[in-house]
Amino acid sequence: MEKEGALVDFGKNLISTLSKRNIVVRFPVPIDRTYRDTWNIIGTHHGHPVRCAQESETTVIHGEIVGVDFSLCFGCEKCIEACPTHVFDLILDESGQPVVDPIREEDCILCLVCEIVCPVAAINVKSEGGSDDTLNSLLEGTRG
Amino acid sequence: MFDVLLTKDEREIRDEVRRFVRDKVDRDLILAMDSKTKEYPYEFIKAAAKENLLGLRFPTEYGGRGLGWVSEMVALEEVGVLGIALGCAYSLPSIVGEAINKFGTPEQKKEYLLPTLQGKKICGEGLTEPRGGSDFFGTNTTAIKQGDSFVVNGEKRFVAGGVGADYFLVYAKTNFEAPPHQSLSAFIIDRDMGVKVEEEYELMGCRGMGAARIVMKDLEVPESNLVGGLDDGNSVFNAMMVPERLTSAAGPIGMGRAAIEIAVRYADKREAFGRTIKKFEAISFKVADCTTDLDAARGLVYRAAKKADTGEWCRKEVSQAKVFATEAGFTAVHEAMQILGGIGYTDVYPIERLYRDARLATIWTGSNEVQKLIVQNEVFGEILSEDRTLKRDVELDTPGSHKTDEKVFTEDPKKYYPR
Repeated sequence: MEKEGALVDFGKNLISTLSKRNIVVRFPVPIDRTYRDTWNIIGTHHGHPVRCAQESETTVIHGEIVGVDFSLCFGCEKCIEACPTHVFDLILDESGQPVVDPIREEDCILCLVCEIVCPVAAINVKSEGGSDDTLNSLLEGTRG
Repeated sequence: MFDVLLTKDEREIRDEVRRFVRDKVDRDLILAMDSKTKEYPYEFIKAAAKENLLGLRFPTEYGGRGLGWVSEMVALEEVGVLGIALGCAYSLPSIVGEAINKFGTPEQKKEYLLPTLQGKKICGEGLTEPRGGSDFFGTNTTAIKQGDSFVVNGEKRFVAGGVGADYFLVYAKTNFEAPPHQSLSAFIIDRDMGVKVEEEYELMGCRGMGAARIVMKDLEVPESNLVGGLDDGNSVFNAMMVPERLTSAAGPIGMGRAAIEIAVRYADKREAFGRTIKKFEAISFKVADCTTDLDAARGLVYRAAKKADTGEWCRKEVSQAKVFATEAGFTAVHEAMQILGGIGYTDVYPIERLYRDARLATIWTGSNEVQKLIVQNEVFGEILSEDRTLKRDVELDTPGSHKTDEKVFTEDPKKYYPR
């Protein structure tokens, strides 16, 4: 059992390392959902920010409303087919790999269908702000 | 056994509904609904309407009987023994009816409330959306004014009567600037206006009520179908939540009662270790506990109903009743199954169906967790706003009450930092 555990850990580390080195790893290491707060903006592309993780300058996420992790995306285009508002376009990244870019992210209607269809969990759509006000309406009723 | 709390009229309505449930509801209807071969219990609605049993609280001119809330609760408990689906069918005219009776125009009452209570129109309600039900005021469905109409876009999920109802009471966002409780409006939307059904849910229980996801795409709804004031869906919602939650509370008492009655008869006859199993406290105490809880639930439901009759704000009482009664009802069914053992898990007894049904009661019409949020909010408000001089200060009745240094509520986290 111990050996198995060590193997799994090794596998995870390897995948994580490969992923950070922008080597396409078709394994579900989901996009970092905190990237808007924790990753550094290194530039813009078609009006949306491009961020990179602090520990790796080669791993980038494109987009503010709709974030796509370019180290995970392998350009399968499922999101392009599914998106009702045509947010995504297929482009080639710096290393010539096909990836989808949230080029019209301002058209996103937050339906999350892209998150659902993405086979490698490379996409994260910004959730709306807190709903303390709707909770207060529920609790306070007419006295709200 | 609860006669002591009921008036003569309330006892009479109980007995009347009890007879209706005994004689006028076909067993085959219940079985067909549960086996998914029945879409919606139209005949049950028509039979109840024929006996003038729908919407008991509403004025006689609109098809009701002008009775009080307690009468309706008493009736609901009796209907509850049929299971949650028929309880739901019986409750919907009361829930949707509350909105129309209280906030509707005379035309709306004539066109919708009256035929609903006559069993000629089937009503449904659309509150929960795919994004959630608890966060009601986060409603995404919109209604935009265009001339004399509103254009409605949105979806509602888990709509009982999504398949089967003629019209729906639907909430939609009409104000995009105001705070949430001033941003929603209630509308009556006819199915014929273009409501589409996109998903019929396969449910664990509560079957045969046409639970579906309905979609409204660019529906033109006449302004005359607005219920209550524009942007004042909040008032309609709060009024509707009284029957919504009270009927949810009373039905499971009937389910729990029915299950325990089966279990008591079973335990009185079934033998193990040379005696009837009721001789074992592990069995008989379940009966004691469950019936005590069901009685306590009734007490809470009647108390809330009596407060609702006064017209006063009764949200705490209603939510307390909803939580306690749905849990007491489910626990009673659960324990009844335990008393019957393996055979209770089969369809030889109806307990497995009641079990699947009763499970829903703790989830719908505002989950019990949401009810508890409401209850605590009301209780904190009550206690913290009361005049403390009117009561004995019990906090002082202890030898150390003067030790104010020990009564610590907060402290500067940097209190011991080096300076």
